[in-house]
Amino acid sequence: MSCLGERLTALVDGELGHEERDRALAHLAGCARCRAEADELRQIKGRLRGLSRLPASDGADDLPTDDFLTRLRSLAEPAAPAAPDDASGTRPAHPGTLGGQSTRPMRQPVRGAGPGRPRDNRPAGRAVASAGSGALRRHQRRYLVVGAATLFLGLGAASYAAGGRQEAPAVTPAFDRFAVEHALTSGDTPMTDPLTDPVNQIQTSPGP
Amino acid sequence: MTRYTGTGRARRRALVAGGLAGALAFAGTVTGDAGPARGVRSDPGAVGLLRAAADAARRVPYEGRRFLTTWNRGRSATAEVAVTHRPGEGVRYRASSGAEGYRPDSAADESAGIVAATLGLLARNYSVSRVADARACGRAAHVVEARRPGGGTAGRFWIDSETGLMLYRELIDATGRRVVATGFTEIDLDVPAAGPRITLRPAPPARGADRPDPDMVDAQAAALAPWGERLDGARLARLRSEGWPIPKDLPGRLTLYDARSDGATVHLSYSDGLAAVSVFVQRGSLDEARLPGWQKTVRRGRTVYRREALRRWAISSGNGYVSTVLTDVPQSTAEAVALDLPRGGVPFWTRLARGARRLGSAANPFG
Repeated sequence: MSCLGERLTALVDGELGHEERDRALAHLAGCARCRAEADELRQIKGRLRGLSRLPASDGADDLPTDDFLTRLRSLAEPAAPAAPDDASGTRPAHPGTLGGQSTRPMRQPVRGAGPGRPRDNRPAGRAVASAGSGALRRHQRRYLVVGAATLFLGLGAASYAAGGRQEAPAVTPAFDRFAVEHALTSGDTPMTDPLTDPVNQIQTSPGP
Repeated sequence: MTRYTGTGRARRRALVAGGLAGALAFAGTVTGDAGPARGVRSDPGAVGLLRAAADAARRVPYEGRRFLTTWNRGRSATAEVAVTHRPGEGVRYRASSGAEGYRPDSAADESAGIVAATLGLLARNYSVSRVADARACGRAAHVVEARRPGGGTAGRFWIDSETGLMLYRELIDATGRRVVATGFTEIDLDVPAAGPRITLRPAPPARGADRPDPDMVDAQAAALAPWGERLDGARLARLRSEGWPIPKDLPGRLTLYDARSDGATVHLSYSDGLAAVSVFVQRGSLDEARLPGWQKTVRRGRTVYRREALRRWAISSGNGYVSTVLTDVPQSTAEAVALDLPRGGVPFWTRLARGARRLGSAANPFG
């Protein structure tokens, strides 16, 4: 990570305030490492933009990505709990604009959570809950689907495992009858041996 | 420009056509199980002789003794029985042990189609031709030979030149040794077409509980008939979908040509034209305690019980089905077939439903 931390990303995304941007740029002028990283980020951003242009998406396709990124970021948050308040003012309120294509306007201003991003959106539920009932329903539905699928698969696997044992009675092939039947049907082999086949005399067993 | 497009299209079309032809040719070589036998040419006259022999077996009255000898690793086993055939009535068998059997010709009629089927397989898998005439049982006989596609004789048939009856036949393995021989040791064709001994009362076809107990059979012979219930393709397909192990082919170019059932057991008849292999499939698990004297072999995780008598037996079981392989040809074939049989088993949904039922009954406090 560079000295600027996430502000570097924000800078590349063009989401820094005027003052912050000047400060960041000034730092870049002096720090070769940060400059290199900023270049790299810009390249990545350019590539991602190129990618996102590939599918003729009306924006709907980007939704999961957006959400996914939000979650990723919120997961990373506790690892850097010292994200200071001043950063909250400067950090992008809309973290997931990859390639600068903002696709979920309802998420952009986090209402009721002061300026900047919500302090704790780790469960990803609260911010979303406040963000709109549509997202809420979608999440609920997702949990429901996952739960139902798990239940279904679990029951299915259990049933499959339980159904493995056979309900088969122990049988002994009726060798004498088989020998006769074989001789009778196998074309021009003689009809003789069913009665003389030693197996017949040794092994006589009732039919199934 | 147009010209260019035109040529391009033509070229593409040619490519597609070529590709299709290639794919078809490839599919032909892959699916043509008789691939090596494709080039095999059979002498129609020789095949005709064999076909006529099947017919003569029902038409010609005779009296004599028949035998079946099988060889395995230098040891041989022989069975012999006296036979009397009266056209229109049937064949009576009388073993030296005193046991008798009687096969009405009506039952034999049914096997005419089977013989035709195995003849077709014979002509497909072997090249059938006539060789120099010879003598058998003291009678002049035409000799028909079945040769393997790669060369080498696989079987020989001696067919009586006068009546067309098959007197003798033998099967030869790839190393040139005889493995099965069967035929008449003595035959008398001058029996009267109707004599005092034809007072045989054709008994009803014996099936299930109606079948007389072998010990109770006295002078009145037990009528022998193949199992009555023929299984057609649709029935077989249904059984397969229920999980029955019913392969269409077995290793060694053995093809399923007949399937019957006695209600509980399915009898599958396979042949390559010469060797006859029967597979009896029944539901259940093998009662291994009742197989004394059987040799147990485990290969590739499958247990096969085998036994060599006059005929070769091999039993494999698993997934709720017991398959009994019975053949005259050497034990290796029986074993290979038993090992190679599909394991059968329960279709996925059946198993799932059964498991769900079990879970349900286990969880049900009132059940």
